[in-house]
Amino acid sequence: MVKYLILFVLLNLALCANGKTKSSDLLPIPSNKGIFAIGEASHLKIVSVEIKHAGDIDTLELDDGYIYTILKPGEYEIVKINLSSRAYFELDNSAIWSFTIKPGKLNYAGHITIQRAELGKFALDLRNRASYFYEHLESNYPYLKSVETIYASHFNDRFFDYMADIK
Amino acid sequence: MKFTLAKSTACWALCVALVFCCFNSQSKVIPIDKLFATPDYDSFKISTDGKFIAGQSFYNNNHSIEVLETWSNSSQEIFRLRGNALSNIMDYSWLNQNSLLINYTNQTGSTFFDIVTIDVTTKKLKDKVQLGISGELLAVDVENKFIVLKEKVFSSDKYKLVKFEIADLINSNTDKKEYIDNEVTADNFWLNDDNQPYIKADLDENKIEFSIKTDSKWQKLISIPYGEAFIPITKLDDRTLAVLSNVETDKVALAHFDLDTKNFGEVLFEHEFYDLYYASFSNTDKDLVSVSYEEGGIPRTQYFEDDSDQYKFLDTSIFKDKISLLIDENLDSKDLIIKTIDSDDSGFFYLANTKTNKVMGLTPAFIALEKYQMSKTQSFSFKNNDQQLVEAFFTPPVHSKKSYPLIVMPHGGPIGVRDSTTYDPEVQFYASRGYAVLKVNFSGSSGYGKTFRNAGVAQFGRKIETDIDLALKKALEIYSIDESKICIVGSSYGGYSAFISAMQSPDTYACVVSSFGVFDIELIFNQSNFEQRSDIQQKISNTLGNIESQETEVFENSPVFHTKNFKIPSLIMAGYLDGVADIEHSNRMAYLLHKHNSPVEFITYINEEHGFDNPYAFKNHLIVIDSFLRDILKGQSSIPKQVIEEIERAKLFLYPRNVVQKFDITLDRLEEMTKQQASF
Repeated sequence: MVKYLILFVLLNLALCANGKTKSSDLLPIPSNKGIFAIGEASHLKIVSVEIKHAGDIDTLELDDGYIYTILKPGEYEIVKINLSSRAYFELDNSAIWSFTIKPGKLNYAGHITIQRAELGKFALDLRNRASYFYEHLESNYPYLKSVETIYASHFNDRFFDYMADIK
Repeated sequence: MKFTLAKSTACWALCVALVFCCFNSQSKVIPIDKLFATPDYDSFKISTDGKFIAGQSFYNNNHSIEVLETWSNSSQEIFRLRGNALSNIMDYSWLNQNSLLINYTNQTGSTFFDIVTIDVTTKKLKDKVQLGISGELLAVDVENKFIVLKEKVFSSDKYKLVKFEIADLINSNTDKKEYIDNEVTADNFWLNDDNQPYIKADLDENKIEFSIKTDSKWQKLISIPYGEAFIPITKLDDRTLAVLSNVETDKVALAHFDLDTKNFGEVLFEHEFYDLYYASFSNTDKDLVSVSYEEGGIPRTQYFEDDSDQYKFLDTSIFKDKISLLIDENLDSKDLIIKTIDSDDSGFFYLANTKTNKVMGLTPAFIALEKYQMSKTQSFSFKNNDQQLVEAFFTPPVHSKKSYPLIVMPHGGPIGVRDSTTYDPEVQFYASRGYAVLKVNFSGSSGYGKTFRNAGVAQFGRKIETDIDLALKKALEIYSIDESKICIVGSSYGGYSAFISAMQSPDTYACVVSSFGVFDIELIFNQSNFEQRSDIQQKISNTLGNIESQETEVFENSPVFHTKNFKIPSLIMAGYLDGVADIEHSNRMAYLLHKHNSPVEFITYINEEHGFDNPYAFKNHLIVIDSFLRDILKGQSSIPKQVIEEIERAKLFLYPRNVVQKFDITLDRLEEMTKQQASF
């Protein structure tokens, strides 16, 4: 398994996390926007994620291991993963760390995983944990079940269609 | 070395011992801790003058080296290493008549070499020195008094070869190390008869490149892709190499390779059905002595000259119908160390002499297993739908009744992996608990040539499962299987195969057990953002085929999409850190089965990857599987005391520190099983 290895950087920088969306604000979805969802599955607790779209960077905070927020449609890139005000991972492979938001839909991008690797390095990737996401969705946001859920990755995943069929 | 079977003259004492042993076999459930233990004796080696034998043992939680005089029966411990999860004796070798080089990993995982010297009069330890050297021991040249180590190059994955004079090592003079071909690095080296490197291999992401040393220079020999074989055996003359290869043949065959033209030449031996895995030539005149292959799951060596008179002792009942492995030999004293193994024999070491034909039993590999009865595996074969020969292996339960339950156990892989009929503690675990076990070398398995191996590519849920089904039908014809009590149990690809087989033949199977399984074929291609890389997509396609051209098949053969009407009880086990079959596969499968009200148990071992690293977790998973099968196939009454004890222990492991139980069913079931038993 090829892993993306990056150095764990410690810097004394304060975060400007401001992207927390209340769950009650998700519906109705504003016109021409979509709901973005991403989870974490890591031994290291992720505090926030910075995403880039059309040159702008937004910082989104995690709540209970997930981010649910409203975004404009289009191509996004995850550029930074913050563990604390002092520790973060900067990501520089835009093709690998990108996702697409489609309007009127619940767009699941994956679960960020961080694992310790050799020589003080860490392995990061964005894993497809769709069934864990559905479990979380059903327990915490049952009212979002009415929204069409899709995989925001560049891959197709027929599991989402199957889930829509058995709803 | 020729090991043929015939009549003859066994050592009387040993025959008595063997008969005694058989009569004392206990028809009992073999405790899991005894089946999956470190062997009491791992190997034996004869000293250079043939006067002593050193043995690697594990006793009282210590890894040890013991020494005994040849043909005597009392040994002295001369080296001891406290056992833990990391410590082990990796290798050891006689350097001369009384000094041993021992390579070991200590309790912190650090690797060391020690030299121990014994007093030849008292047979006790005389001296012990720790050496400041590291690497893998490739050769001990007793005649020329040097050793060759394969040493890892700092901050690289490559290796260099290092030479030490034995006298310097004994005097702890490790500064005098000499690099062989100082600038040359490789992943692997082959040494010639003089223990000098003559071929090296360098691995990269897509191929293995072989080079040969000619006139002190290394020249490229051949590059082969992964999956093809090129195994140098020996240099026959200045321009001819003997190799095992399947580059130009269907089976791995023994062939000439021309060192000038870099082309394959005459094929010396190609088996009709099987890949060769070994060949030997005489050192002196380079005549072909033997080739080895696995036939019916058993290692076979075919010899090309008759020297059966030399090994008459092998004709005795002790060795008859067993696989005899040559462990060590002393050409001067004519003494040999032989280990016999079989599907129902965890191993026994013998000392034999080719001159006198005298044989002495040294010890079983697993002393505690000697008193238990085990089950012998039988092989059978059949033609599949493509008229290819498929081999299958059937192990009846130890206590065979009129008809018995069966576990069908497809192997992982599925490409380039195989099953055999040599001793398998997991098979004996089930056989001693009353189940028969069926294993199948289905299309895609290794050992049967490229055509057979490639026939399994992109056959998820298709030809592979058809082969398994044909093997089961054949087994039902031959053996006394209770057709209402068949479960299918597998790991990795076998875990996938277990579910898809049960989905394709719902009336055949009473239950399904899957560990580390794959359940959504499309998810293999999209399980993380890094799977987007074209090189990774290509690697996956080599096993699964191109996903875009087979969308319908991918859907039809993914178990997750057939959960709606699936009502067969199932047990899913997974490793949370699995980097091969991501935990999403198992969670997705269990989530959908549960959603569709299919009876499913799901346990995630939170510290495990693709397979078990922790032996306690491994044993726990086997106990849970046995309890699940027992519940489905046999009911909860009359559970043997040993099984109840193991279930009690398994319950202690099934807590959040070790596992996640998704639906809280397994622990409740185990509680119920032990409670009911207590009331009997």
